[in-house]
Amino acid sequence: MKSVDIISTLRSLPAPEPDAGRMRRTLRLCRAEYRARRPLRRVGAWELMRRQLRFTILPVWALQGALLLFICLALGAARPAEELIPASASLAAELAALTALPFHSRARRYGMEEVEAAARLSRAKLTLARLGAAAVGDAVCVAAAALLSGGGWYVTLVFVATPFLLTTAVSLAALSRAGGVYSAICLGALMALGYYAAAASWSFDMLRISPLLAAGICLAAIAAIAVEMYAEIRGNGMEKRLGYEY
Amino acid sequence: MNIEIQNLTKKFGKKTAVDSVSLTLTPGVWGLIGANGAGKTTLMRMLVGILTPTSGRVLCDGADTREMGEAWRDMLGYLPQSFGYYPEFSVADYLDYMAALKGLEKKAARRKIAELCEILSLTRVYKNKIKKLSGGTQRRVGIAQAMLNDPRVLILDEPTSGLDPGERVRFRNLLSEFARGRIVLISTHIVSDVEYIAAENAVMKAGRIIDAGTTAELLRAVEGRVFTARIPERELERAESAVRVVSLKNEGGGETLVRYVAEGPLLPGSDFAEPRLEDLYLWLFRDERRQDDV
Amino acid sequence: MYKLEMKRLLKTRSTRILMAVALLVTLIFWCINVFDAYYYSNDGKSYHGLDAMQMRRIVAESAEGEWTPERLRDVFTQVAEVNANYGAAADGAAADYTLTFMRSLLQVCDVQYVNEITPEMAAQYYTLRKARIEEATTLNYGPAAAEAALKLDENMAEPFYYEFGFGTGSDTASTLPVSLFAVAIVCSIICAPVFASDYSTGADDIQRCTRCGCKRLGKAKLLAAMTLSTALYFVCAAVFVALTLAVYGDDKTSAQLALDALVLIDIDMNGVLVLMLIAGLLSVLAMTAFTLWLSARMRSSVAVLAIALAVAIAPTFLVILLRDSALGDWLRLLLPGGGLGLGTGMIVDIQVGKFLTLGPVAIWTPFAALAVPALEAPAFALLARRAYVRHEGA
Repeated sequence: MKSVDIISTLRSLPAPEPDAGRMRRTLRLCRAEYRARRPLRRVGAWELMRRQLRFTILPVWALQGALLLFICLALGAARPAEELIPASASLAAELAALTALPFHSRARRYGMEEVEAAARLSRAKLTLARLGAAAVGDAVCVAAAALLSGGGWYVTLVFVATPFLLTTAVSLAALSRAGGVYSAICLGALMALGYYAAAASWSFDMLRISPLLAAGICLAAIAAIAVEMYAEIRGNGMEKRLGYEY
Repeated sequence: MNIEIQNLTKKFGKKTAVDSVSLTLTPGVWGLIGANGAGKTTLMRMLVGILTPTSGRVLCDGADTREMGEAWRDMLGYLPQSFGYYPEFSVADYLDYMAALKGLEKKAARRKIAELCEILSLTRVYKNKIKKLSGGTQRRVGIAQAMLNDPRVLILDEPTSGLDPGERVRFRNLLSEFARGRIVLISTHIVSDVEYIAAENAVMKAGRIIDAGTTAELLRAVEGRVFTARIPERELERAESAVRVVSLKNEGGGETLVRYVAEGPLLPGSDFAEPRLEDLYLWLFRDERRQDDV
Repeated sequence: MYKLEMKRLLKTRSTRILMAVALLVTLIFWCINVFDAYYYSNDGKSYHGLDAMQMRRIVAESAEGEWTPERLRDVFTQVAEVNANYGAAADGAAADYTLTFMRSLLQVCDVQYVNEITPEMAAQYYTLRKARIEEATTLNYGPAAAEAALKLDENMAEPFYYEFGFGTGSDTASTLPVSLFAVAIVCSIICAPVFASDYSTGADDIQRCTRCGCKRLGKAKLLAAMTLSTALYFVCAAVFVALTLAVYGDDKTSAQLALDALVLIDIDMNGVLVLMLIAGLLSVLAMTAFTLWLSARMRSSVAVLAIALAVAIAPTFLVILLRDSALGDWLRLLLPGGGLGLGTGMIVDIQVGKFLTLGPVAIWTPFAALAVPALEAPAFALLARRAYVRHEGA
């Protein structure tokens, strides 16, 4: 049967006309219910960041600021001795990766996770705000290390970007899978020292690594970081952290 | 308003922590009673949205709370069993922080914080670091954060643990006042807390609600099953292995007053006693006697 | 009590993993040391790893023995003749022959290229060396330091001796300190939670109320942690040294030839190795004791770890930030890990002839690198025990 036929058949069937009074009563009740509802005040991203600033963002930025000062001093002092620059730049980048670590998953460590998860503002937004703030600080520190190292794009790739991304990926993975912030800092520190030692001894050899390989390592590290960040934002593993075993 | 829990289930692998729980919560104080591992905390966590149910749903006035999202959490106040805080937080910092997370506007938040501090006697410790406060005072800070956003639904997991008797009385009175037109769900082991203020109770065992209703309705299950008896001290060990003892009181003169629950008067000289929720609890969980009770 | 604490430490999974990591890092650096060697012969062939080492050994055979002034004059007479006949090829030939102490000669004779060294200058090597020591030390540290340097140098046995070994045939002088530094870091990581984690969990409140009491318990925890660190150090150092000696044999080459003309004591590379190991052990003990003191004072293992790591890598940064400054040297050597570091440490102190001066007193930095951690280790250990005994729960 065609739609047109169905419609015309339905229209021809006897049916009561809508009662205008009933319609008005329904509208009145709907409006009253709507007015009686609890108004949900809009909280924008800017307000969220501003209210979180004092509690969670400023401490991270304070530590990253101190690191930035240190980077400027160290790389400035290393300038006359060119052989020290690659190692110093890589260590600065690795320290940048480690400074935000103690602030990751603080809620988990201090038992605030449940209460924060039950609060109005979604956990994902909150985590994103915190990660974003830490990322801004990291970006400034890494940019400073790159600029002050005075090398070209390839020196920056090998001695700044790669160690930063590798250390971040390894320490974030350790944070979620290997027992928390202590393990993450240990692993990150050992990685940082290893890379520093390599940069100090074999900086010329490292610069002979194929740019494709270096870029590939960076991309792999970025992918690993993205996976960890996504899991952190989604709150994966919450059940395990609350003590439930599968 | 009401909250309808429909066949809520949570499984972790082969273990079922909450098994097809259905309950309708109406305005007033609800007590959630059960032994350790009964599933109370898991149920509460599903209600507030921290855990995802394996099946079932929670409806608030007919709307699925999972779909409501922020709007549902805006109506909620939640105090978990283990109350945590960042170590650098003072009471003021903590409440400011939670107010921000609850989306409260700054001025309104300040007013509400001042009001709650007054009610919960936190004014004197407002600037103090939380880690320096006693356990009971910390608990009151937790209760304050749960009530910050004037919630329509207040879910409290063991709210009175660590509070002294005076604080518990004040807290019970506060909740009773607060519960007018609101839903308050309390889980507790201190049965006397819900006995005085809960209009309705739900009893959980092995992930299921085994009984629900007013205190009077629930106590019918133990009517005629609660006894007291005065026995010599030398008979105590035998008595403890024979019946489920609720309380023991040394009466002096070598005698002990035993209150127990049983199908009938099993000890010599037993008298019937007025049942209380604690008796009901022990009656319903009599299979879970500890090893050292025997 | 002590045995129980050792057992508890060793049963911790993270401790075992970290110990394995330390051993692995040691092995990796030893492998890098051996297999990263290259040798390019004059006929254009290149050699790698153990083959490179063999080639170097063959080439160095002719240079072995004592380097008397007469021998030096003869060698450089030949170099001058080759230079006159073959020009630029001379540098390569001289490099092969005198490959061990080229830098030392260039430094002492104050020239840039080998072909600038005349036979007479070469014959004057030992005299020029003493003049160089006096000049460099006076310039950098003052007359008191120069006097101390010359006094140290008085006992120097001349002529210097050369033989092929780990000192000149490998990068042991740079890789061993790095692997020992890694061991120091690992020891700090292991020791950071010894006291602090029990404070934060509240377990300490129960433990100190037991029959043993906090004094015995504190002593047992300290001793267990220090023993573990010492044992780990010995194992890693022994593995590195044993493998090195197995491949290269020992090395009686005078340190002045293998390292730097400014080495002020009569010591060969075997002696330098021993000094590095002693300084490393003392630094590890000092770092461990310092970390344990922090752990006894703080409730957060993470904070203890962060501070301990910062102190451990501080010498590395002081060398960069305060390069060639007395303040940098003082600060570096006063830190618990001053004898170890990346680009710093005992081996650098021996090579460079640095002094710490205070008025008329001048101390050669290797002595400070040994003495300071030797004093700091027991001092921090005692402070740690005291801090633990006095700790009160929050």
